[in-house]
Amino acid sequence: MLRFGLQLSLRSGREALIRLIVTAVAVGVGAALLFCVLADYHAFQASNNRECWECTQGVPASGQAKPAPGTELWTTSADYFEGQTIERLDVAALGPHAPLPPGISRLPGPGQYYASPALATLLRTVPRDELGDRYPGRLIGTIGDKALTGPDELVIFIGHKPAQLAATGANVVTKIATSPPEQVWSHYFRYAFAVGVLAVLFPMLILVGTATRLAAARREERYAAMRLVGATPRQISVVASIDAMVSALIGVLLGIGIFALVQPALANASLIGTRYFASEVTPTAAGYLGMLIGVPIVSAIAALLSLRRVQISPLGVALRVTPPAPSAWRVLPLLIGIGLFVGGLAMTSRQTIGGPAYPGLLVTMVGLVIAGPWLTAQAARLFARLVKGPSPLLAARRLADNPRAAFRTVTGLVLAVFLGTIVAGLVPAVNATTATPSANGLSNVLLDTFGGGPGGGPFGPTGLSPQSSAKLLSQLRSFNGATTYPVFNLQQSRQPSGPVSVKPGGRGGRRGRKGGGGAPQASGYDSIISCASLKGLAVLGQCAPGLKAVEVTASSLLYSDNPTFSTQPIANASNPAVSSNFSRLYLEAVLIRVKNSATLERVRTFLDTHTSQAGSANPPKTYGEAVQIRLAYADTVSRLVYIAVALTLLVAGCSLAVTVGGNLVERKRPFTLLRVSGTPTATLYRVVLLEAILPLAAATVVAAGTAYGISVLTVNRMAPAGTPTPTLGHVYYATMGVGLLISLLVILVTMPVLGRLTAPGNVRFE
Amino acid sequence: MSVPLTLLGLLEREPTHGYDLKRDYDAYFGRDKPLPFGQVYATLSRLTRDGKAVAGEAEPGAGPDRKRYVITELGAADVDAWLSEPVMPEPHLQTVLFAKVVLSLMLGRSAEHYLDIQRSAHLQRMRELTEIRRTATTVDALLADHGLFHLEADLRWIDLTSARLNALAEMVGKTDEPRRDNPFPQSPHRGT
Amino acid sequence: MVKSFGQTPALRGASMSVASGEIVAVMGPSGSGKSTLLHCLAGIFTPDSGEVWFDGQRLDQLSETKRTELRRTAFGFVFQFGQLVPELTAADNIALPLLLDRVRRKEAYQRAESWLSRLDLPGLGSRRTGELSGGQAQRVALARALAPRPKVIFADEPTGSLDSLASENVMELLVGITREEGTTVVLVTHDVRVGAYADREAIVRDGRVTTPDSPASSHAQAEVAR
Repeated sequence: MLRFGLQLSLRSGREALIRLIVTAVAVGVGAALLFCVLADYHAFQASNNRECWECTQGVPASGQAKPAPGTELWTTSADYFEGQTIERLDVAALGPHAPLPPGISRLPGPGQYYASPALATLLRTVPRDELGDRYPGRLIGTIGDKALTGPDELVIFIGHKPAQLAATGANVVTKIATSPPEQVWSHYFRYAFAVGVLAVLFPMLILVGTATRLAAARREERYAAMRLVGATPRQISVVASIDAMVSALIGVLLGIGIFALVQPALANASLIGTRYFASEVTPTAAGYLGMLIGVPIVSAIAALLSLRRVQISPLGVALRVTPPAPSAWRVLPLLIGIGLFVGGLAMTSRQTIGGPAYPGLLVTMVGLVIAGPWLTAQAARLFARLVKGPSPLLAARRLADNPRAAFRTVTGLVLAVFLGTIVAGLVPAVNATTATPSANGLSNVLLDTFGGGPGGGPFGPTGLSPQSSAKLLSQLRSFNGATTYPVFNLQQSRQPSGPVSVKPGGRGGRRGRKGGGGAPQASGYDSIISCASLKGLAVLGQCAPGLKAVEVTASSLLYSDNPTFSTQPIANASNPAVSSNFSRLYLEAVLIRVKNSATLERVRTFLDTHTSQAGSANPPKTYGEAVQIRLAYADTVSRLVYIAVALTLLVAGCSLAVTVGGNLVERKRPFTLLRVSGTPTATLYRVVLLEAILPLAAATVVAAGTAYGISVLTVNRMAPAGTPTPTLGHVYYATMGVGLLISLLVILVTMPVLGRLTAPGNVRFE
Repeated sequence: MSVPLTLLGLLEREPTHGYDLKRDYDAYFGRDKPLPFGQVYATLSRLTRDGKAVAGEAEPGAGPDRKRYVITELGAADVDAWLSEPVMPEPHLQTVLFAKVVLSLMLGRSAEHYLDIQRSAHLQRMRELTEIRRTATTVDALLADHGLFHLEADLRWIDLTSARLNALAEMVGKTDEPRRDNPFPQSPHRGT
Repeated sequence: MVKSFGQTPALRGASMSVASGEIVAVMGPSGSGKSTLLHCLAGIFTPDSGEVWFDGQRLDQLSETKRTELRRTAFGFVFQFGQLVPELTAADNIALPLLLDRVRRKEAYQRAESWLSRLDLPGLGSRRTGELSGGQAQRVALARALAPRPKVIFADEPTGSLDSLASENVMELLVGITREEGTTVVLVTHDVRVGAYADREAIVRDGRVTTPDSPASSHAQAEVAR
């Protein structure tokens, strides 16, 4: 039976071969897409699971540099260059056999450093005063892949003398961490990937299923004949499964080929924001094997299920009875869902999101899927009433006849478009809450702080001493294209400031201690700024007229991570005046407005080399860069969703094409005879096109409309006042447009098949 | 069933004794109903009287069965005309149709052509009956239906026979055994 | 006409002519080429050699587009089965050719209704194809063929899948209506009782037509030749 089945699949004549090829191509495209998703996921996992050397903890050295074998002094910090983060490790061995970070063969000695390949390139090409001057010593080698997340990462390991490093507050480290980094966002990414896989998987399963059914439809007659001759249903199942598996297997192999072609482009693209190592962008042997085994099996199951549905009796296919029309009650869950969501929004306050909102969203999505067939039927009827002509009539009747089948192919599409539109509507609003006008007003202002925290510690004012600060300020003022606005600590010097004990932060560590303890200020303010500076930093407010300097509360401005808060105004007419003699004040921070990125980097390099490391809590960055960091996450999520939407559109298009092909085969005879009776081919093409486009368009419009409505409601209710109404940006329209276009193209490709299938010459075979 | 013409047709193959004529007739056409001797000789006398056949010399031995009969030009012309024309289509014609086909084959004429023209005649009659059916009263329509069914049966037979002419010709040729005491040479076949 | 499909010859020099308003039954054993003869006459196939004339113009030399248009406007077709679009109602199916000819929808459906009653199918307009009996479906097919008032109806075994009573109904209507309208009918059938409804028969055997043309059509041929 197996051999017979194989023979039947492979040697049944030209038309069967073409069917095999078309199915295989459809499966191949879907498989290639799935491979791409798997490959990217694998790369993401690999980067997530690498050894986190920067997570290494140690014991504070407290200024001592005790030599001991197997130990070293270790400081990690972050730096910026043109919006990119540079991971910096300063290390000094305290004895032989000091622990070795991954990626290098030996520890760099004093005056030496290793850099990642990307950073090495930058160091070569960028002027020294913009980057290279930050790092003492010379480059002795590149850091290997083991220490990096991707080829674009900027990492540097700098060697020092132990005494040097101990003075700046390093830790003593005996063992380098090897466990993967714990990222709060990695969970979300994983969910997003899972969604992406599902978004491709479900439509692809449907695609495989419909492709198999298409093939099965043609073989119904053959199977009926077999039944007549005495083949048992079981034997027919075997034949059908083999048929399905053969084309699926060929499809997966084709998919592997397509993926091999696409992989270099995929590896180079930073779809989710960061580039991965090309060697990691692979579905791995497990992925290939899984698909090679899994897809044929799924295909065979789909074939068996479809056989069951068709019910082959010895007398041929059972007479096709019109299924009952979907009832109007189907709309109910959708309405309930929307109602719940709106209710939940109404109950939303600043603190919590209204309870019913989440279930409302879920029910809405489920409701869309349930209401789909009814909506399709209504849309078809409406279309038939509005548009004249035989083609719309044929198409609309077909859709109204069996809207379930028509909607089945676009279910995945509806959900994907829904999610995509919500994201497209919400993300700009989210971004707007981050990139507030005030934040934008300070986007090119660099911030560098010199203290451990606001308000000074019990040791008195923190920051640069008056002498150092005067020197620094005059040096800064000599920079072309940079305007410096100093912020002074309110506390006057009372005792000599002792060594400030600061803990070097981990990667991205936050050390801002808001609301300081220490000497209470009667006024409640903690800093002093000149009115001239305020004028230059317009969004921060204005002094009362005639004043030269005022007291302000600058803790948010200087230490908050959230640009929304850190760029709020700090001064108005009520701020008390204060002497404008700054000569005895400690410099808490400088805000430097730079006119271009070259100047920015030069200033940063200068600050890096001319101020002590211990002073900086966070590396100097502009408020614009702070905004970007926060935006990056939202950007990544939305990218993921867009990719999922585009993929789903593509797969839905293929699925539609296959379904349409199947419909054609079912109506081959009446269509052929229509052509014999003089119906032009163009009419039939139009029918087929309409049958495919109507559900596609209707589903997209309804899903997008509902989602857009939801995002508008959400933004209106939850976003701070002044956030603009969501408009769907260029990327959204581009994604949707391209996806729909490709779907259309795929459908158009089936036209010639229609032509051949219904050629009047076929009428010979009565 | 036209016995005189059939006998005449059988006679056209070669001069034959009356006894042998009866034997052949029974073999081909008289399966259920053998022809009585009396009818044979009466028919032969009538044919002789009408000049369509001639009785040869009587052989030694008593009885009319010892006379050999020979067909005349007139008789042959009669057979020719009979075989060239279709029979008026009506039910219960099988025996006549059969006779004509077999004789055509025996005599080397185109049975196919005969079947064609018979078919045309049948179809014409069916057309007439169909027209009657469409316009007549129920009783007449029923009668017309009856006729139509029978004509259809005939036509089916005609089609089948048409397809089997070769086999039939062989069969007819095979059973046409040469007689033991045949002073005459092999009968001249009247080709068409 | 001579027509072969690949290595298989179907017509080996078949000639026939049909006069306007005649009903001709093309009969013959299966494999004789009678369907191919009909297809060539209707312009579905072009013969390998030979000519096809209709209404004074050569059919076999027209482009496929022109022939398609001719088939739509001047010819009507009835097949043995499978010509009705399954998801359309009976009225839809009948109105279809009218809609294709850009008749306004309201008028098209009115005409379809009148054809439904003319073919003894009252009230079945909104039934789908699958819900009709064989005889009803063939009558709908006939109505569809007749609706655009064609000059010629080509019927290929129109009663092939019907029982005798349904066959008679369909043939009665076919002949009755075409006689009223003066439509020419070329009818291929293997059933002699169906063929008996025609004015004359053309017997096809081995790719040739073995019956003479009708006197009327011979006359017409002579006219053309002159």
